[in-house]
Amino acid sequence: MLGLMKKEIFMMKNSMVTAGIVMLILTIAMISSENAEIGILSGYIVAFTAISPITMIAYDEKNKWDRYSSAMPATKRQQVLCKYLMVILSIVILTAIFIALCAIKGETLIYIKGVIIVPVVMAITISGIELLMAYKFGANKARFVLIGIMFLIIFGARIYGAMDMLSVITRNPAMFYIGGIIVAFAVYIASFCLSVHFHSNKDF
Amino acid sequence: MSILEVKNLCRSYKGFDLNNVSFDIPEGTIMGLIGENGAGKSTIINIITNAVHKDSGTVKLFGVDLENCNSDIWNSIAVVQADCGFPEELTIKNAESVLKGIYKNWDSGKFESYINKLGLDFKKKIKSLSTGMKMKLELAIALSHSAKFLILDEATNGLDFMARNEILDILMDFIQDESCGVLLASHIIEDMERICDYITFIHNGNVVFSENKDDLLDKYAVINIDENKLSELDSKAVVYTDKTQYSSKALVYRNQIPSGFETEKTTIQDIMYFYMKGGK
Repeated sequence: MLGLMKKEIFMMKNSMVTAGIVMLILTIAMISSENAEIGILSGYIVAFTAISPITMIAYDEKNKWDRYSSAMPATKRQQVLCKYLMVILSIVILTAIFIALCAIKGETLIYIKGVIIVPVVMAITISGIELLMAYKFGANKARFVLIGIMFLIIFGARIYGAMDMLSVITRNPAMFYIGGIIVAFAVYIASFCLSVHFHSNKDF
Repeated sequence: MSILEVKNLCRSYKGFDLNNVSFDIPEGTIMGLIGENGAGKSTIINIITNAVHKDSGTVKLFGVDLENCNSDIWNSIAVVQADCGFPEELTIKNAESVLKGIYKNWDSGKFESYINKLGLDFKKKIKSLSTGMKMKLELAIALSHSAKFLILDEATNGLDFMARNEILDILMDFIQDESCGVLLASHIIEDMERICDYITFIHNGNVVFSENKDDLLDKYAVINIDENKLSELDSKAVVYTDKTQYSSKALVYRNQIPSGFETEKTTIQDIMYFYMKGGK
């Protein structure tokens, strides 16, 4: 299991370093601009984690890793689990960088909480769906699903604005955030169980 | 005990069926799996390595059903395949670090000695290696975790004579431990003839024969005779014939040929050729 995690880290190292550098550059640009809203950067966490699952599965497909690793002393469940843990690890690292950057800019804890929870919930939910699609249909088809999800998010954001959902959230923010986190993890866990099922029944 | 027992293995695809494939690999032996492209060799290997599901039949590794194999058994198995392997974006050093965390018997000292012996460099990325170098790396990986059963699928294809010999020598060393076994699938019949103890010939998804190599070579002979003389032979003695305008060549059972007929020493390639050609 440790070896499999290491493999994912080695594979994603370059992407993660690039993501970190881009985030840093954007932050510097925003700090230097007085009117810039650093909270926008939290959207970057969603964008990066939406791409990561497809990148990981695409690498494996290219190298035919699943066939190669079938005869290794690691179960199919462990192999799937590594991908899910890797995505969570990416979210944690990017969130930590984001919080650190907000702190450097002198933002308050309430502000940070307000701008980070929704993107994290979205990142967990989207990557859960992405991983499931990638395990079921392969990385290529999952890319199209990602585009579909992005469309839904834009469409959803418009409805969200039209329905004045913001007032609902501000009336009971704690409930909204906790509910969101619970739903995100429920989707993620359900996605993991289904991915294990699909991966175990697949021929490589 | 057999390292591998395959019994009545079946798998259907659209346009291809693997039918009741059975063979065993006794301890301390090398089994060669031969057959034309698309005969079913890789399907058999993929089923054994758990990459493809079987429709029916049994596969036992070290006496344990494939479905019940635990991590101890998978720790004892190593696979080298021509068209898949370790992620190419990694360096050999990265790969070792990953493998250390996967195989409980990983031996870094052994791996390092193979890397040096095979002329590889720890700092190199796998994608920068040539086909031969990649195969050597896969073999070094396979031999560095105390595997007892080595499976090689077309591992010597695309390699030059020297590289092939180097790999075959390593396999010969490996098999000196009488508790080990090797399953080698390849198109290169000369390699098989040189190192295999048993040969299983797959044709259109069926096992044509699975026998001891020396017995096979003793059992069959090739004769070059004209068609009239061929008719003098008992039809039971003739396995297959290959007739041309001027002469006939036949694969025959050596012990059923009357004296006076000049027989040639046969090769596995001859036997395979006649069976595939199929005309009696």
